[in-house]
Amino acid sequence: MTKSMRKDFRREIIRSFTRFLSILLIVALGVAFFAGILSTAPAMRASADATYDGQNFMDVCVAGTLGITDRDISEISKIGDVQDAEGAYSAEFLCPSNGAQVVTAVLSLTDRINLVKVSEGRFPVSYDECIADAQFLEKTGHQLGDKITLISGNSDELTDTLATDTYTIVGIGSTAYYLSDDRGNTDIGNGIVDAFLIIPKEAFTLKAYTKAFVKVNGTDALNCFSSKYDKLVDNAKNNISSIAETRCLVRYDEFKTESVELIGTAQARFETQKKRAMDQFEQAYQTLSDSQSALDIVQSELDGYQQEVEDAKELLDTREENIPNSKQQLEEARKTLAEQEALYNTTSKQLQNNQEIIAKMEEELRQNASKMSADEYADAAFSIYSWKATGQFYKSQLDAIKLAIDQANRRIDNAQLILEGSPEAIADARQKLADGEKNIKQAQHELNTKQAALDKAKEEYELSKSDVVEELNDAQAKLDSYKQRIESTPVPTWYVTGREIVDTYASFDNDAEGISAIGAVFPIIFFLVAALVSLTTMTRMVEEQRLLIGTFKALGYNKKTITGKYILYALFATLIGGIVGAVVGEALIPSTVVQTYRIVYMNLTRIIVPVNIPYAVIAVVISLVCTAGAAYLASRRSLKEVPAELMREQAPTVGKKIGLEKHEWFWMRLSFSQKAALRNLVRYKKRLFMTVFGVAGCVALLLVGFGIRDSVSSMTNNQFSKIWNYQGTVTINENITRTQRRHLLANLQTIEGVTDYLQICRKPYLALNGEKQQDVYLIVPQSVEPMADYITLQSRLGHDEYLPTDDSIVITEKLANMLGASVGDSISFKTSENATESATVKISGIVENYLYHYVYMTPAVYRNLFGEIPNLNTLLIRTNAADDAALAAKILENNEVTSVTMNSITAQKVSETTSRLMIIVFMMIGSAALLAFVVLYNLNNINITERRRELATLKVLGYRPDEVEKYVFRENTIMMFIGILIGIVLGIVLHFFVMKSVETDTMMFGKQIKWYSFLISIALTAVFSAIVNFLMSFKLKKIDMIESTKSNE
Amino acid sequence: MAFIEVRNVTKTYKTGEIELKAVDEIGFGIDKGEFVVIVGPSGAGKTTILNILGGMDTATSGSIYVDNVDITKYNENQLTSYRRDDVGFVFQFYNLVGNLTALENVELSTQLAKNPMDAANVLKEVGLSNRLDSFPSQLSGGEQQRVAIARALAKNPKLLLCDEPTGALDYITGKSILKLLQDTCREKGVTVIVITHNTALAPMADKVIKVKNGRVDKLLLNEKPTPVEYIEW
Repeated sequence: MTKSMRKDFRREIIRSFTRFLSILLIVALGVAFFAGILSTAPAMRASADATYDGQNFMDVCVAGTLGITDRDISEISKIGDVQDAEGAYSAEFLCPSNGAQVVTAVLSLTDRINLVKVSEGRFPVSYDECIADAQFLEKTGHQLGDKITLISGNSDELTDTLATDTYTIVGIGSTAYYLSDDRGNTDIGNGIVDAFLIIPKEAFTLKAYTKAFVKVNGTDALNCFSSKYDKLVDNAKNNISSIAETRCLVRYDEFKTESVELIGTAQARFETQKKRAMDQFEQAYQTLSDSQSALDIVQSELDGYQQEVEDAKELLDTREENIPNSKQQLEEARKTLAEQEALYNTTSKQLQNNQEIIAKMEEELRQNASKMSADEYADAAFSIYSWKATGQFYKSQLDAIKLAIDQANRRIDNAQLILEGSPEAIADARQKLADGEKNIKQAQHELNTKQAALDKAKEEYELSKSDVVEELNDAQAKLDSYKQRIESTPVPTWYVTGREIVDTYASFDNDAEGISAIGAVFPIIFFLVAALVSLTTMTRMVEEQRLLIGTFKALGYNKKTITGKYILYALFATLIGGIVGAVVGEALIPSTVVQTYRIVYMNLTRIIVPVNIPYAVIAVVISLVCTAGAAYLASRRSLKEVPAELMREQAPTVGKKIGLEKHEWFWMRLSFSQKAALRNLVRYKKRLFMTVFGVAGCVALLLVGFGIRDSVSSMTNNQFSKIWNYQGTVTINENITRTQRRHLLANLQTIEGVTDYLQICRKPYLALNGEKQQDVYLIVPQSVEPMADYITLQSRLGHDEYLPTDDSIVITEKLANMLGASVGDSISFKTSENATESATVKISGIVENYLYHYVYMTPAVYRNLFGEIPNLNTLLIRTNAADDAALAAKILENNEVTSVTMNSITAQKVSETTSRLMIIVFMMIGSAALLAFVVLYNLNNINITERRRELATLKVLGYRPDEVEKYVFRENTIMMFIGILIGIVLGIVLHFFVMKSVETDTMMFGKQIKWYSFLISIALTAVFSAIVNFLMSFKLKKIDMIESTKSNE
Repeated sequence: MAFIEVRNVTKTYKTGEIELKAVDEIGFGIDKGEFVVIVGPSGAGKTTILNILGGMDTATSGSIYVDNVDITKYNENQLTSYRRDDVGFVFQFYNLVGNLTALENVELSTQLAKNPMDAANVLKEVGLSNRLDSFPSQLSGGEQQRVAIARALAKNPKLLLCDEPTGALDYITGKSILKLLQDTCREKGVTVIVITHNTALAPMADKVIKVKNGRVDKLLLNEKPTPVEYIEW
């Protein structure tokens, strides 16, 4: 290159700086998007890896069905590729607060692996101190420094596991085990863990650790999502598994000794329970017999009064004629007195007898209680109580006899009075008559009250009798099955797993994958646009400089030098743009996306944005090839011509008739400017193609952006209004008695706002189909018939309705997809990863559902699969209350209720969460606007520059500015229209693809875009294009008419 | 007052610090229906005069009366209307819209004008009755210039301004175009102003304005203009 060529080159850049800048910016944009989005998934993974490494997160987790002992830990540590191993405990409990029960995972504080980060407060030092996670504080309303109490969520005693049930919160912390607010599942409460607490190891009283955390040598240096890491960990897992068998046999021997103790504890617990039940029974019985004797006494009182009245009457009415009678009466009364006294003696003796028998039987029961079955025990207790009742009867009889004796004495007195005939006696008799009548009335009234009390006591007694018998039977069955379980406990096994058992590890990887999928589409659109735009710009530049090229050529410069100038120009612009784009894109996009994901994965403590030089290099190289290639091709074509030709004006693109003109009826109707516009479209095909491409891309990006929002919101809408027809879920304590349940259900019906309820069993399980497995919720209603009123069980497309039957189940759509199962296939279940698999059951229906996986089955199927009656631990309620929160609070007042979830409140929360998605929508709108501006501005610019003379001529002919604009922009409008149509199709396809790739395993999105999103997307595109046109109108105004008098240069 | 009165018109171009007077205190008058040739060497200011006369450019000072109205007082809009209704332009490089047929190119101006002629008729008059549907690229240079003249005439302008109309044409074609212009002037009474550097064309005009260094060097009147057929150069 000569000095003057260099000077020309330098001046070229300065002179056409806007062109230089436009190539530079377009390339920068394309490269920024390409390198930035492709770097995002690696940045997400690197951030997660750094967070894990920062807390020395386990590589392998070993869980044993009978726990892991200290010996096990030291054996694992001896394995060559194990760097470190540490035992840990975990268990789940309930923490009652504000009427609800927060399901809490209690973890042990570890020293070396899975470190805990304390953000506030300090680490616990004493066994009754704990660290709580932020969610625990949020859900319970407790604060740092508060004392909290845990209770057991099942029949096991809390003290079997923990040293104390009361802890002081001394710190607030997080662990990499839970990156998001998902705390996993459990088998207590409503099955979902709400929060966690971390306590010192010594606070656990278990005989063995529940898990061993293992660090593998050399993994810190690797990214934990890489295949190298997997290989290293797999190797370690194999080595650990190889010692498992020996260790498990050792553990089994230990366990056999422990088991005797375990059974002893369970037996003792049963005894206490039995005692408690009998006490309850006795109390009811006591009330019953008390009421009976009270009644008896009142009755005999009444009888006495009646006799008195009669006597007094007799005395008054028939005093004279009754004298002989009185004599007779006196005799009779004396006889009665003698009889009653004899009866009194016999009854007293009987009572004494009875007391002795009771004492003897009670003694016997006390001695034999432990040997007796529940039935026998109940029978024995029963007969004691009947004896007691008889005794009570004797007692009341004695009372009655005493009364009769008194009466007889009075009658004797009376008769004597009559015989003696004193006036005082008459007055006295009158008085007695009046008193007696009054007393009768009173006694009658009392009698009625007592009768009512007796009736009530009888009823209560009957109920408690059947409750106690059933409860004792249940407890007995539980004890038996526990014994059975302990005795039949098999040789333990170890489950050696990697980080994949950590839920958020897998879901985070999934999310990063989703970003990669988006990353595969959008940057390519931008890149293509960038390449095409710079190609047209370079072609245009070379064409404009024909004359100059000709001159250079005529002056004797060779092709290489001349081509070099343009290639260099392109290279220069591209290189600067590419580097700027790569730096800005890789710095900005990944960190923005990772920051956005931190809304969900709040415990992602580190953000690492690694520099991805390969992506930047690839992007820059492709841009270089595109722009320099364009420059080369364009200048090459010009250089083929001889200088003389080049000096001449280039023949303008030939105007010609287009296909449409054959349809005369149509063509005749167009004004000539419409004709010109149509012809121009065909004439400048490159511009047509690129504008359409740009507009289509813009519309598609907007549609995807709004579509994401639509899909997510329609998911919540469908799930919470269309599929779930109930308004709330009430979980109840798994261990409540029948009486308590009866009480709760009766109470529930009295709460205003609750219209109906359905008792169901709702439990988390693993569903399996061959190798595939998914976490699901099993829903077993008490009876199947009313279920359709609560949950819409119909297929998404055909709206066919399904109900589970006694030999088949109904499952949700996404689950069917994930398991690869269809109607007619059979799947099986297990309670957890380590449990044994159930028998299989046939699927008879697949139903529409968007959130989580559900399996609906009848109680009969449940019994067949799991060998037990479903525990109706949940109520689905239908309500018509205005204030759902108040209703929930009212339901929670029942002690039997552990939690109340109102759908309206959940739906609101979900929609708040999804409103975060607006970030993505705004990103899409931003990208779309950028795309529209870049493409439309550039192409319009070129178009107007190319047609300066034509437009100047129009001005000379007297076209007003608006008429000139119309002439030019009519073509834009047509191109925009075509672009929008293509963009709609492209957008629908892209949206489907994006939604598919961002769906998680337990979520299904609607794939429809709302009509108004189409409208907004189109309107926004039109606005973008209008803005470009507006900017262009200034450029049009600036065109000088003098231009028209010059020749094409 | 003459139909066109140019009085003391000056046009100064400023490029950076350098001031250049393209037209310097120029003045002349043109009567209605006259055929005027403005002649002078390159850079004498001919085109500037034409641009100002045609309302494409404005004078720095001075005034120009066309039909008794001072067009130098016109604003942007009025100038556009003036170009639209009163002036017809013929360019050296024809300036046809490549994408429109001959007929459509003429329509480009008839659809604007207040009182246009029928586009097809005008093309017939300029001798292109059988090329109505041809695109510019399918026409020879002379034919293209005829389309351009037809486009200028079709709107019934008060004056026809031609900037080197034969500059890009060969001798014979150029002559026929000049004849067309001369005939139009005679037959339709349109005032025609032709700019050329070719002094040989002077005898065909009613009035010849010789320009030199931005000033009127000489103003000649031909009592009997020579028909263009008899002029050789």
